[in-house]
Amino acid sequence: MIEISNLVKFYGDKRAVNGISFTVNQGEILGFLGPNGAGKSTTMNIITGYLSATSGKVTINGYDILEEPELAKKNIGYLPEIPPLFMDMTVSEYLEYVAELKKVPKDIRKKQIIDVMKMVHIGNVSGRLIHNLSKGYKQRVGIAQTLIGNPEVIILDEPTVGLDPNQVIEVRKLITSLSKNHTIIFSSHILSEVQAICDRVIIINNGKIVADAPTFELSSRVEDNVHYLLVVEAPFSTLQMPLRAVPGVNSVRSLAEKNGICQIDLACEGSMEVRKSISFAIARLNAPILEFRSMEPSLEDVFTSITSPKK
Amino acid sequence: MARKTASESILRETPGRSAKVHVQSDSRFKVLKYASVLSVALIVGICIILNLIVDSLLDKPLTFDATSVKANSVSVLTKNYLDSLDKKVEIYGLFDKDDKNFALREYFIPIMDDYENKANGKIELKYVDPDVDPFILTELDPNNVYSLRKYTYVIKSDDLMVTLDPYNCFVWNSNLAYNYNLYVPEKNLVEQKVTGLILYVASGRTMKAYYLGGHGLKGHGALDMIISPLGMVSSELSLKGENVQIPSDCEILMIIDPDTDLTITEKELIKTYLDDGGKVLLVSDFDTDKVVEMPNLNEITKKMGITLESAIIHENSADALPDVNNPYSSIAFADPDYANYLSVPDKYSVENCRYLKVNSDRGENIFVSPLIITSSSASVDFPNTQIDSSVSSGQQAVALQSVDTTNNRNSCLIVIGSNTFVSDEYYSEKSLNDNNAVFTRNMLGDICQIQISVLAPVKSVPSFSLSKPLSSSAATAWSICVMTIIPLGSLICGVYIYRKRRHL
Amino acid sequence: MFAIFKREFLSYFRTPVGWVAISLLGIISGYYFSGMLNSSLAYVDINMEIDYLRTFFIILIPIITMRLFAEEKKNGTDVLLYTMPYSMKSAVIGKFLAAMALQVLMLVCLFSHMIVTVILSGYISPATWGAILAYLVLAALFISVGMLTSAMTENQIMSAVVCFVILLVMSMLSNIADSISEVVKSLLKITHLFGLSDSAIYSIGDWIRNAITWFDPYSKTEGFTSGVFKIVPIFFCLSFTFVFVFITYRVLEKKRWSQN
Repeated sequence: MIEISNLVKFYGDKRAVNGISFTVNQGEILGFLGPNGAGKSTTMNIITGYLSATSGKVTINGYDILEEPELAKKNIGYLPEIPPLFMDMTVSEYLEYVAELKKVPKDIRKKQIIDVMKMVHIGNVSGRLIHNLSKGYKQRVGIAQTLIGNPEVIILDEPTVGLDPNQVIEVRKLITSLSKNHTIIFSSHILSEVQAICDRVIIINNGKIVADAPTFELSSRVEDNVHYLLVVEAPFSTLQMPLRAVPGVNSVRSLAEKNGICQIDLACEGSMEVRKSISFAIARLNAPILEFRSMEPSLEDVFTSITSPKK
Repeated sequence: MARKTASESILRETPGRSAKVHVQSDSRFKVLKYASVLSVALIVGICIILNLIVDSLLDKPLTFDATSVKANSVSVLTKNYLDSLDKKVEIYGLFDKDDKNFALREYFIPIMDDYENKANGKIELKYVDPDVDPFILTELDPNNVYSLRKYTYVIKSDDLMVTLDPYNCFVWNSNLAYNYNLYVPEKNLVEQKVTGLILYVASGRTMKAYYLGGHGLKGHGALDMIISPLGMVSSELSLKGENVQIPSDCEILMIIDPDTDLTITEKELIKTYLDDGGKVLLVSDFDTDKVVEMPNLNEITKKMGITLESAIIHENSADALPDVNNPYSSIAFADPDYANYLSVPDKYSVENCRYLKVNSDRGENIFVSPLIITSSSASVDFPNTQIDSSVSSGQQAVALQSVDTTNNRNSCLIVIGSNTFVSDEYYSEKSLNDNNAVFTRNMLGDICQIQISVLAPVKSVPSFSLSKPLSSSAATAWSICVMTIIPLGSLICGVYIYRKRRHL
Repeated sequence: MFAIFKREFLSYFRTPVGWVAISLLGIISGYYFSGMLNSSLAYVDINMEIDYLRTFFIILIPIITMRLFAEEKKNGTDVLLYTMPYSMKSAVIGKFLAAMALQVLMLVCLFSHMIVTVILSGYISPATWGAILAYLVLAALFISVGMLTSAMTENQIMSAVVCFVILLVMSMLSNIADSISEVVKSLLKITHLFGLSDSAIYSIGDWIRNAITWFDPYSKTEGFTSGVFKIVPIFFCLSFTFVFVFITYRVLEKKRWSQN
C-alpha cells in the first residue's frame, strides 16, 4: 500500500528525518509514535507530497509521489497537525469544496458529503461556520475532509492533541471505526493511545525509527518494567533497603521527600506477587501507605526499555 | 506475513557515528529544480522576444481608429495623396512622444503615427525633445531663421521646411474661450493642415517675391532670410523703362521704403497687377527730416481703401514707450482678432510710424483690417500742417491689410507704417527670432497661401458636454446618487452578510 | 479550476474584502464623475474617468490579491492545494480568474456612470469600450503581479506592501527611465569615459530611456482613451500576465523539490 524507503530530510544542516523506511499494508492501523520534534510530521508531510524529501522514495499504491503526484494523492486523505479549515466557510460549504478538489463526481458528491458527515457525527453542525465550532468539532471536520473521495489511506497527524478527554475518546472511536475500510497511519506522542488503537507501532526518535513492531509485542516488552508510585509516611533512608530486598523490584528511586512523607518510584516486574510483597514489606516497617499506584510509562522509558539490550 | 516481518525488525540498531555521511540528495529533485528555473527563464525570454517582434512588426498594422469621427486616422483623400507622394518627407515633433505636458497630444500623436503608417516609408516621423537633445534645433535650422519652439512640429522635404503650431489646427469654441477662458476645440483641422503642409514641402515649389527697385531700395538680406522658410525666393524688379511687365510668377510685390514717388507707368502696372489678384506689401515709414509726397503711390493705396498720410504716430502711453523721451519709438501690439486667426506674437517694436488712415469711402468689396495697432492713447503728429483736429488720441494702425474681393479677385495689399519689420538695420541689432520677424513671416505665409490641391476633411470634435445642461440642483442630486448608491449598497450588503454569517 | 475559482470568488464576498473594494472604487469613481457633472460645462467624458481610475490600481490591486496565497499559507490551508489530486496550475489559474472576476465586477461603478451619462443625454465615444478593455488587461497584468507577491510571502500585509511598491515602480517607469538616462548621460559626460561625443552620449541616453519605457504598461495602453485601439499593447499585457501566472505556479510548485 505505502512504501517508504530511505527517507532523508534536511532542514538546512539539521537532519529532521534520517533514513526512514517502512511499509504499510492494506487495512493496517499504523501508530506513529515519537516525542515532539522527532520527525513524525515531516515524514507525514513528505508521504502526502506537501514537502519534498532530500532523498528517498515514497510510493502509494504503486504511484511515486514525486513522479505521479495526482494519482498518488488520489489515494490519500491527510489531516495535518493544524487542520486545513477555512474559518469563513460553513461545514457543508467546506466539504463541498474539498469534494470538488478531490474530483468527486458531481452526482455522488452530495451523498458522499452526507455520508461522511454521518460517519464523523457532524451532521448537526453542517450549516455552521467552522470558525464558531469547538476544537473537537473542528478536528472532526478535519477528519471528515480526509474521508471525502473515499481514499484508501488516511493519514492523521496528532488527531487528539488539544482535545478534552471525552473528545479524545470520541476521536479514537472514530479512528477505530474507520479502520474497517481504510488503511490508517496516525501519529501520536502518547503511548497508551497508540496501544489502544493500533495494530502496529513505529517509534521514531531524532528522525530515526527506533522500533517497528506489532502492538502486542511492544506492550509485552514495555511491561517488563512496570513503574509504581509509592507515597509513604516515612523517611526514604529507612525504606530504601527493605524495598530493594523485595524480589522482583529492580530499582528504587526517591522522587521527593517532604514533612516526613516521601514519594518513591519503583521499577519492578509487572506481576501481582511483587505488589503484594511490596505492601507487606512496608507494613513490616509500620509505615502508613498514603498512595500506591502504577504509572504510565513515559516515552523516554519506552525508548530506554526498548533500546536497552534484553537481560 | 506482514506481522512477521514487522516483528523481526523490532529492533533496529542505531547507526553509528561513522554511518553519518552526508546523504546525497535525490537527483530527481535537482532535475525538477533545473526544469523549473529553466522553464521560467525560457518563458520570460520568449515573452520578451515575442513582444519585441510583435511590437516591431504588427504594432502599426494592428492599430485601429476607435473614434467616431476618425480623428486618429487619415482620410481616403490624404491616403490617396500619400500613395502618390514621390518624395521623402520628414516630420519632427519637437517634444517627447510621451510628454504629458503637451495638452493636444491626443489630437496629434495618433494621427501623426497614422501618417507614417500609411505613407509606406515615405514619411519619417521622429520625436525629439529639444531640452534633451538640443542639437536637433541647430541641425534642423542652422541659420536660426525659423525660431523653432518646443511642442511644435517641423515638416521638411529637401530644402523646404515649415513649422506647424498645433494650436493653429483647431477652431476653438469661442464662447467658452471668451466666457470661461477654456480652450475647447470644436473643429479639428489637423489632417487638413498637415496634409497641406506635406503637399507644400513635397511640391518643391518655391514662390517668387519681387522687390520693386529704382526707389532707393536698400539691402534686404534679413527679409530674404525671413521669407525663405516659406519657400520664397526673391529678386529685384525694375518697372522703369519701356515694355516692362510684372512677371507672371510674381507671388508678391514688395515695395520697401520707397524714397521717391512711383512713376505713372509703375502706378498703372501695379494697379493692373492688383486687379488681377496680385499681392503687394508696402512698407513706408514717415521720416520727419525729409518729407516726400507720393501721390502716385497713394493712388494705389487709396484704391485699396488706405491713405498714407504725411503724419507720424505719437505714442503717449508710458507703458508702450521703452524710452519716454522718444514718443516715436514705441511698442505696438498685435490686433487681438488677427492674433486669434494667425499665431503671431503680442508685441512689436516700431519706429517713426506713418499714420495710416482707413478711408471710409472705400468700395464695398474692399475689406480693411488692422494687423498691428498702437496702444489706445496714441495721437498723430502732423509736422507740416496744423494739427488735424479730426484725429484725436486713440488706437492707431501700424499695419493694415486690405483685401479686394470684387469678382473674387482677392487682391491683397499690406501696408506697414514702420521699417522695423523689414530693415536690415533693425535685424542687425535684433535677431531673426525677433517678434517682428515672426510677424512678417507668418503674415506673408498667410497671404501667399499655398494652393492646397488636397483639402482633407475638417473633423468635428465630439462634444462631451451634456446636450441638456443640468441645473445645479439636478447635478447635485445626481452626484449624491452616484456617490452613495453603489458604495453604500455594497457596504450594507457586506455588513449584512458578514453579520449573518458570523453567527452561523 | 472551477472549484478554486468558486471558493476564492465567493470568499471575497463572505469576508468584507470584496464589498470594501467595490465601495472604494465606487467612492473614487463617483467622486470623479460627480465632479464632471458639476463642472461649469457639464463636460462628462467617461474616458477621462477611466484614465483617472487607472491611477488607483496601485491601491486596489494589492487589496484584491494580497490574500490569495498568503492567507492560505498562514492558516495552513495550503496543505489542501498540495495534497489533493488537483493540479497546482489550475489552482493558480482559478485564483487569478477569481481576482479578475472581482475586478470586472468592480466596473459596475463605471457602467452605472455610463448609464447615467446616457440618461442625461451625454456622449459616450466608441473609444470608451477600447479604454475599458485596456483597463481590464492592465488589471490582469497587475493582478498577476499581486498574485505572485502573495505566493512569495506568508503575510498578507507584507504581500500588499510588496505589491504596492512594485506597482508604484511600474507606474513611474517613464520617470525612472528619464532619471536613469539623465544619470548615465551626466556620468558619461563628466568622466569622459570611452571618449564619446556629445551626440553619441545623447543617443545612448535615449536608448536607455526607450529600453526602460518599453516595459511601461501604462504608456503602452494610454492611447486607448483617445480612440487608438491597438492589439499589440493588449498582447503585451496578456503575455506578461501569463508570465507572472506561470512564475506564480513555479514558485508554489517549488515545494515539490525544494530542499529547505
